[in-house]
Amino acid sequence: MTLRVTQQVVEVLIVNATGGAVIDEDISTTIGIVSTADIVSPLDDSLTTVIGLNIPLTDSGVVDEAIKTTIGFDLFAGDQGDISIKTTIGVNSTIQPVELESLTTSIGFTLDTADNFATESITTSIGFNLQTIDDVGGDLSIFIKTEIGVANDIIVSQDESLTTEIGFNLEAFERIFLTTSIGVNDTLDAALVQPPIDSSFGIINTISVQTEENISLLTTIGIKEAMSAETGVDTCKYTPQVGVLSGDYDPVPLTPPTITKATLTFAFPSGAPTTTVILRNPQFGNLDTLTVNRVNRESRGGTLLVFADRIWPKSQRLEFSIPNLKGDQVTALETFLDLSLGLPIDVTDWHGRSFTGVILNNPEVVQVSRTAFAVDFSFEVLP
Amino acid sequence: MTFRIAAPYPGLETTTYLPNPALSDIRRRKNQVEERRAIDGTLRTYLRSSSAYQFDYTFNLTKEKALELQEFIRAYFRATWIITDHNGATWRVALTNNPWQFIADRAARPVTEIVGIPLTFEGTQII
Repeated sequence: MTLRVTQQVVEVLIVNATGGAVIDEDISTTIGIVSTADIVSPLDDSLTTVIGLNIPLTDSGVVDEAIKTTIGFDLFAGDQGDISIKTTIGVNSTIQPVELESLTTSIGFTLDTADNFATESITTSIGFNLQTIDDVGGDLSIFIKTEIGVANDIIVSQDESLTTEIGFNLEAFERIFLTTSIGVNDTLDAALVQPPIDSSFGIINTISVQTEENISLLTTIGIKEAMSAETGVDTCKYTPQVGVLSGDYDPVPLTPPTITKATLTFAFPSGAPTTTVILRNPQFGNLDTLTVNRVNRESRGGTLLVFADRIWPKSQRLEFSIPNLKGDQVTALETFLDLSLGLPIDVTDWHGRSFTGVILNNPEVVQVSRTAFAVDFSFEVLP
Repeated sequence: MTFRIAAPYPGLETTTYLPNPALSDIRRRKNQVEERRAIDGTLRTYLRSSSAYQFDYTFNLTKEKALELQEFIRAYFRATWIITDHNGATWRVALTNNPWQFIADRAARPVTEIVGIPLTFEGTQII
């Protein structure tokens, strides 16, 4: 018997089937609400749209069911066969202010599946599409940020506060790998006296085992904090600002070097000199060259990667030219070189700094006039 | 405005302030344009774009500051640096030139000499 009531809001369709037949149910509920409000006054306005659906479905048959609910949901399914529950929420938020704007999109999922008959798969996906259009000043910078896994970096010159919070609550029943990973890099680089950096982590992993399964529980936290306090800015004197050292790098010496006026002096042998030659200071253009062994590689994405082991050798070489030497100075120099060439010697330079090293070139004496000679040196400093 | 360098990144340990670099400093995007020409003469170009920049600076330093910079390079040449340039922009860079030549090119008072040091960096802007 079929009873159809027309011209009503509700249609009722009843089908009598023969007893014991399998019936496919199809329930579709769609609600569409479009709310529009023009906000023209500076007063507080409120635009609220609420959609709520309650769909109960109870079926004692053996037919696969599919329940799909879009926007606003409360789902319940009880069945002995496979169950597929899909929940989709899409949020597109657009804000076009002329002043400071705040655009926040939050989605919270609570999924609970308790089934002892089959393997569950719970997937939680969150996708944010954020768009900010600011008409002030035309083509301004737009900052869109979507993150799980946060690396915040603040470099300012005033009081700052850097807070990074990530909270995961994972709960699983049976045959589920439970993994929680949090990586936080906090860096505070401040030009003034700053408050300390606080990093707090709380991870609670809980596994309730209903059947005997292979379950691994791993929690790893690595925390590295560094803070450097800068107390003075001087672009002329030796004033390195050294903070907390990690030990991964050789430290920069805090003691400034002694810079005095001195005269270039060669002494041989090194440590217990018996022969010394004093020469006039070199002309400008002298070189102090620092050379290291280092590997520079470029990744597929174009990022420059630099690597060097701290034990790889470094070398420092001093190169200078001494003009206008007198004949007796040249004679003394040649006598000195006959003894010391290729061997370690002590050198005190024109700033009073002392080095131990080796003269690498065989200095050529150039006579530039009847009484003036010039010599070039290449001197490598021994570590 | 000064020129600030700090290293290593992350976990900055040491900061050094330098005077502004000499004029004629260079900044360029690290883009690569390859050109191919077809047999009929048609030009086709291929661009490999990058967000990285390359910088060429020359600093003229006092002898003391040059020695400080030399110690800084000796300690952190294999690390990533953070530099705040003379325009106030902050960059995460790597020092790319090697070796580093400190050239004492002229006299100065009360210090004894002015030392010129060219530095080249490559990196991306973070602030």
